[in-house]
Amino acid sequence: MYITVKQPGSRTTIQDGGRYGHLGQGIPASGVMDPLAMRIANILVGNDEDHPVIECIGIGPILEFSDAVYFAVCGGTFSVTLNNEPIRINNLYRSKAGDVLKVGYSSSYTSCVIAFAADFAEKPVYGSYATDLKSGIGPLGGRKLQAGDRLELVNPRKNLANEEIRYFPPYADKEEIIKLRVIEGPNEEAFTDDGLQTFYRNVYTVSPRSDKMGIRMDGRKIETRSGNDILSAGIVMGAVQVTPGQPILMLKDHATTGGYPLIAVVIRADLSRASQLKADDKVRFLRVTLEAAYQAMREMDEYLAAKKKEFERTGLFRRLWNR
Amino acid sequence: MRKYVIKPCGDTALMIQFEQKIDPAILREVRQMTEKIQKAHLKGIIDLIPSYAALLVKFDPAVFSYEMLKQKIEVLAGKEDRKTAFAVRYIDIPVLYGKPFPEDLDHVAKHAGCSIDEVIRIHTSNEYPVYMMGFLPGFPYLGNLDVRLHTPRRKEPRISIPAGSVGIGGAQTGIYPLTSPGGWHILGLTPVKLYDPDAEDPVLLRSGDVIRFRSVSEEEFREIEEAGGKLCI
Repeated sequence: MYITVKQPGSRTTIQDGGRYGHLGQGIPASGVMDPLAMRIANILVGNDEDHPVIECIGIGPILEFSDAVYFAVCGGTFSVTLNNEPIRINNLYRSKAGDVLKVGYSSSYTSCVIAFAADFAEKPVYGSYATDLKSGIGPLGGRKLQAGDRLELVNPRKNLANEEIRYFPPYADKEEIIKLRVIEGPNEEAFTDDGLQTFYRNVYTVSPRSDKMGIRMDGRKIETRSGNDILSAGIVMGAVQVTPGQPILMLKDHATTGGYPLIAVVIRADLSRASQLKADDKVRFLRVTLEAAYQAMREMDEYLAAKKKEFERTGLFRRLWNR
Repeated sequence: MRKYVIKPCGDTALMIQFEQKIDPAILREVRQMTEKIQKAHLKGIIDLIPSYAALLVKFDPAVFSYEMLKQKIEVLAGKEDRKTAFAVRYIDIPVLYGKPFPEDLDHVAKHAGCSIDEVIRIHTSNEYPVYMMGFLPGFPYLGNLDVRLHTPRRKEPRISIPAGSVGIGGAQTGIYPLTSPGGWHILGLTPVKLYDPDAEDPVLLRSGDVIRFRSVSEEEFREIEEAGGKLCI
């Protein structure tokens, strides 16, 4: 079976959890912007959590199904329709032959993913399905989806248990000030005490000049001890670099190394929230301990594991459970 | 092993920092540490990014907490250092000087107060160690640029610099593996592909290699280009 791309949207790519093993050569990990969206979409359709998905950023695609297949669209606030009827985000669906899935437009840079209960016939590149557009690495020759592409799907999974309960609540409505929990950065000594206080005590606003390499934050200038240059070193998604003008929160498209000091790094449990920030959102950075970060990570993993178990519970056990 | 500090870089990576300077002895420390961690084949290490004076270790938090991995690395660091020298690959990079922005070569010559031929002579007579890879896929950060050629970056970065451009930015010299924006002065162009996503090993260079630039004619440039921009190492 296959998926025909009727309209590609603005930036629709095949992605997975990221390509690792080549960061030291300057090849970015790429992969999905919102790791939680990928995990829940795959859990809904019964895949491994880092199974490859289609990621949509900005204007979403219009896709046509050649056959029946389970799928789920998860992530940011996109409007999604199946044959022009609205469908829910974070919910399991099953297509029929000829069905048309349309993912709408999302304000600025939020992302969503589409997971299918099947495998892509495309081959992984250097062990991964992640697409990095800048270096042209990934399936489809490392490019975006184009109108007319036919993505072949193989091994479709049939008869998922408990179809009717397979959904996740939509992402919580954003609070007025979005809190991102962080660990102190490896270059904290580059900042004065005043500079650190400025960073943690003030609210920063997401600049419209942000992109998927980094979210630029407008707000109070952060004082450094001596300039903003450090010897270039490796960086990770969620790291907050401080340039002379402003802090920049690194997203999945960031270069593998950077030469600005890292004041803080967002914890894994909050990366999804960070990746879904929109222009003009207000952000506050909350410093937490590593123990708190690992606790938050465990809670998220346990929640997802419990949902997965619930979705897969069958037969008598399920009936007993429901009583 | 000399002094180093280990710090968290979020909850899924850690940073091993050495004395923060560009120095062949520090580069050797970074390589020692990288090799010790690689050779231990620890399950749960996802990737390593060595740089001038630091090593970033990305790990799977389902296997290690930061504290557990920090202790393991301290044990590894305490092991005996490799006595023998790391094998060095010498790589000759052919350059057609004066292309595609001849005004940049002029500018560097004026800034150095010498002729264009002298700039080419100086640039081709040094050996440049690759300190680290980053910024773009296959981009080498090179050291040992002759001080006479140190030239501040352009005031207005260019929107597009072609792949293969050999440039100078301040005290650094390097090669753009991909067409990209950039603020460096471009001395010339190499037909060698530093990054080739279709190759089995997409990136030509690695940290610890030593580069020598060689001036070539337009004819030789085209021959190498037509042969696919490949080098035998």
